[in-house]
Amino acid sequence: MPALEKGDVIAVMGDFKDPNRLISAAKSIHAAGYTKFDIYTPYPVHGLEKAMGVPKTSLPKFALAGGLFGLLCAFALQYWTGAIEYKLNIGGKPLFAPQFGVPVFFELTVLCTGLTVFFVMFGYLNRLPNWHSKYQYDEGFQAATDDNFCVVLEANDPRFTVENAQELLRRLGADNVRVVHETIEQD
Amino acid sequence: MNAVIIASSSFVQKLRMYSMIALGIGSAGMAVAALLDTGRFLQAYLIGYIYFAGITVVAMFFATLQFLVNAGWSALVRRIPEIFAGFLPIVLVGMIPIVADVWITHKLYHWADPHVYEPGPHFDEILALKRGYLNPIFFTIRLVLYAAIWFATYRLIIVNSFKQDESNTDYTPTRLNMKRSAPFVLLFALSLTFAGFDLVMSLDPHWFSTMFGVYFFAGNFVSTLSLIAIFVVVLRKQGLLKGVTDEHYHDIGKFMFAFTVFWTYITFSQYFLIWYGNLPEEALFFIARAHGNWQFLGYGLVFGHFIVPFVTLLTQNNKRNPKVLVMVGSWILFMHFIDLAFIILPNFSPTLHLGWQDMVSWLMFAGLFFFTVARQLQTRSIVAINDPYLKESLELVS
Repeated sequence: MPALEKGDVIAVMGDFKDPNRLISAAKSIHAAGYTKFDIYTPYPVHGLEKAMGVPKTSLPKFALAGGLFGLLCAFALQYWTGAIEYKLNIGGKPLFAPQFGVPVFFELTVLCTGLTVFFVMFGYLNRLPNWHSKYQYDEGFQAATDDNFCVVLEANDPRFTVENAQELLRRLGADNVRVVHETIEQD
Repeated sequence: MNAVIIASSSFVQKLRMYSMIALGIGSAGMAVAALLDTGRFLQAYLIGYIYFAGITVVAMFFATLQFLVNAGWSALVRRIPEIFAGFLPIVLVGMIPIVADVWITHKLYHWADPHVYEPGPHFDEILALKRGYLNPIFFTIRLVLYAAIWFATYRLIIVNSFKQDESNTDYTPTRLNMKRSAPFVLLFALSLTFAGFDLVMSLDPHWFSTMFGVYFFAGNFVSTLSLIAIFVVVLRKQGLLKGVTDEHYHDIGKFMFAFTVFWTYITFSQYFLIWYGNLPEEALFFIARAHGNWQFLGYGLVFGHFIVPFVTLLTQNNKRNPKVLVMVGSWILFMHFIDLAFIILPNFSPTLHLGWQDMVSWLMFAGLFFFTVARQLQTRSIVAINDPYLKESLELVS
């Protein structure tokens, strides 16, 4: 393991054990005007995004665009191969007809929508893959994969000061409120 | 919690009044239609009958399904389909004119005419081979069997659900329903499939489609959901169904959306295989419907029964918007009528003849249906007050 060294303050964190108090805390943090904060939980907590004031995702727009693109591709593929480039008379059926095109329209629409959603959501909206988190050395943060709800007030929030953030989290009933420093790895 | 009786509300009063008006106009129109042309009267009767019989039976299935899967979200709105199920006695009595026609007048079902089995100008070789299944005696036995299954479902599941209202400590009725629902869902699937075969598909006795049962179910299910959605929105707006939130709208909207897609999927699958196979005995159904002016009804269905509800219900906001839900619901109910006309009427006429008879038939059955609903609401609680899942439904977050 490389040697570790402390850097600047990057966040103030607090732990919660109870999902209901977590939701009311999220509401209060949002009401206090914080925009750069996040909550890490071991499982999806219903209603948490709403309490945090997370804006609606733009994913559906990408999904629609992806789906229409797939539909267009399916149409072009079948029309071009069937009626332009490789004309084959099969059982007296028309060279191209929407009837037999539908399964392919459907499949390519679904495929393109699915792939678009997958890549846009993970790659573009969530910036994955990401092999590390700057908080990964914090024990409470690590416990968020097990039995802890970890609230992180990030230092790059315009309202952030160490004292205010600590005071807010303590007032909301967070345990183990702590200041987290950047960890610099020395090779 | 006490039973929520909304008998004195203006909603029930109005429902009762308008349904009586509809019933009056409808029955007068049907009487005229019967005097003018018995055959045309019976065709119209069948459309109106199938429309509301389908909603009633599927509403029972919907309630049964909620017990089968221990659904929590729907406990608050489940009483609405249970009240729709109260139309069942009229559904059973309504079979009588159809059975009478099969035995006496032979206007609806070509196979019921004994001449097609006897050597002579009307002899039909195919029907002679199908006689073992398509004959008046077996047809009547089958209808009685469906009636028995549906009646048993009503007595054993729906009435049992009403029984739960009486006690908030003893959950035996609900427990029983959870056990009983499984065999009844199976029986429902079989009875509705075969009722679709017998009452609708056999109008064209040469034609057959193994997908017809599920096609018939899909259309009925999406219209039942639409009617439930409309009732939930109106009752909430009138302040009669407290506790309903946008989350319930959202869930019903998702259901409507899903089954709009399901209907399209099934309808297209049936069409697609027949179109591709192009076998004369299967294609004749679509040859009658894809030529002449019936085809406009067909395109209308693609547009109206699929594209319009699909696009409208696609977004989350629309599913949660009561106005949109009522509009799409009414539209789907209208399209379901067109769908039934498209299935039933081309058997009798090569050109489009959707007439006033069909409208008055619908009006008559609608009047009867909503009158029964209003009557049920006189004594029945609009909320399943002691349902163990009611609390979960009230706290629903989707």
